[in-house]
Order: sequence, then structure tokens, then C-alpha cells
Amino acid sequence: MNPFQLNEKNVIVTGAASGIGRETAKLLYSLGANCILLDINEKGLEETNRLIDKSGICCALDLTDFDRFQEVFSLCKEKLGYFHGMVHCAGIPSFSPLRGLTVEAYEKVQKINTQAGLLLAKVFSRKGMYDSSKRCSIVFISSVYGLVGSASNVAYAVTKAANIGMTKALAMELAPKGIRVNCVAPGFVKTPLGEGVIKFLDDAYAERVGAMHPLGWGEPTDIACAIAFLLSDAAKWITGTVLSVDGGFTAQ
Amino acid sequence: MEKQEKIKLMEEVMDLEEGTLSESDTLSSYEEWDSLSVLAFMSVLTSKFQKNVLPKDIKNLVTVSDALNLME
Repeated sequence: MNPFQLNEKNVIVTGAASGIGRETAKLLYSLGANCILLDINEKGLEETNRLIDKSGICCALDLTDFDRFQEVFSLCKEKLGYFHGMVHCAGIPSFSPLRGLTVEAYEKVQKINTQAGLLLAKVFSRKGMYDSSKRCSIVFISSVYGLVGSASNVAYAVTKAANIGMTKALAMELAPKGIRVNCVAPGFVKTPLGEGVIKFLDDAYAERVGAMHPLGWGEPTDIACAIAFLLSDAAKWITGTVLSVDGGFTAQ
Repeated sequence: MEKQEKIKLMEEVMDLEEGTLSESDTLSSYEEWDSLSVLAFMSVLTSKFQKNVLPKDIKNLVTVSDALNLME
């Protein structure tokens, strides 16, 4: 059997309405997985589901509404059965120097990028939720900015570095349950989020960002491939790792 | 938010000591009104006032009073 296949695996994908989340859902579907698509953007979810032949279960969910996670997972499990994988692709940027950082801005980026991932993992790993008879896998999304410094980006960097700590701690804690936990650290990728950041700034910045990646800008599918690998049995002896997928950004 | 509170917020954004700014001051007369201040001000407008404003619009502001008017 091809270890990269994901046949019969039920995988939750957050941020599935666009960008890396959408591309991940498309790839997982093509590899045989059943996808549970979560996002606050209902229209985007429907479009993603259309792209995977309406095979997914869509659930419009505000990822800061932590109290709904258990209910949503239970409903999805009733329809599909036990879960085998989860990837937390949802994320938002936060561009500001320290002096412009507000409590409101920090809490928002922290809740979506990190806290939601942690609390989703908590529900996923409860007895009766994941398939304890099979290998299971959780993938978080970090960033090159969780690994190297960047000015005017501290709130985002905190959350992405936290996702690395969360990955390693949960890898240790969930290994006895047969759940692997890893994260992918992307460089700049051509997604609505990445392009929105560039539009927010200026063309000169876009050029500088491009130059920081020896292989140029990434595509969402570059990240989706790494996620699919980490979810698959091809990565069955990999846990607690940070996989940089950044066109060489952090090789310098 | 009271006007004085908004001025304090602008001083924080521009990395100025408290009590430095007046409403009638011209932003460009401060060397601290630089690209980082623009970015910081945009962040404050988004997170505290739910306003998404582009850098070019911020750069068109002339006085401190103009900036305060955006903080509503």
C-alpha cells in the first residue's frame, strides 16, 4: 500500500475556505481522505466543498468560539466516524510595531493562530473522538517568523513560535495515544492572507520579501503537500518536528 | 474615547513622551511621524476603532487633529 495515501482517513481542516486550508482539503481529498471543513467564511467553505466534489462536511465556525468545538466535533463524528487527522490552517496576520500593539489586536491573533489550535487538539484527542485503533496525526501551522526575527511583527511571531512549543509539548503528551503532532513553518505563500499583507504595505516590500526566498514565492500547494505527508503513514515515525517549507528562507 | 485619551494614544503610536502633542501640531513637523508610526497607527485604528485604512490615506493626514478625527 502506498504510505502517502489517506484512504478512509477522516481529517479536520480549519481555515478551509481559502488559501492553504483550501489547497490542503483539495489534496487530502485527492489522496482519499474524507474532509471536515471548518471556517468562519461559509461561502468560501461551499466553494472548497464544490472543488472536492461536495464530498466534505462543511461547518461554519468562528474559531474564537471555543465553547462550540466539542459540539461541532461530536456532530461531525456522528456523520463520519472517528477522526484520524487534524490540521489547523486558520490564521490571521498582525502587522504592527510594538508601540502600536493593542491588547485587542494581540488577543485576536493569539486566539485564532494558537489558542484555537490548542483547544481543537484537546477535543480531537479525547477518548471516543480519535480512532485509537489507527495512527492519528495533528498538524499545526507555524511560520518562518516563528523561527527568525522580523520587525513590526511581534504578535504574529509570538503565536507562530508558540505553535512550535505546542507541537513539541503535545507530541510528548499524545504519543502514548498514538497521535503524532508536527508543524509546518511556511515562508511567504501566494494566498489571500500573504497577498493581503503585501497590499497592506507596498510594492518595494513585496520585492524585498521575494528576494528573501531563494526559490521565490511559495504556492499554497507547496504547504499542502507537506501537510499531507505529515498526516500520512509515510510520516509514522515523525512527531514533534518543525518542517520548514520556505523556499530556502531560513537556510540563510 | 475622550480627546485627551486619543492624544495619549497618538503619542504612544509616535513614540513620544506624554504631553508632547497638541491638536494643532503638524504631523510632519515630528521626525517620529515615520513609516513605523504609520504602521502603528493603522494597527490602532483596526483593533480599537474597527477601521481599515491604507498607508497612503494615513500619509495624507496633515495635523494631529486630522488623525484624531479618524479615531472614532
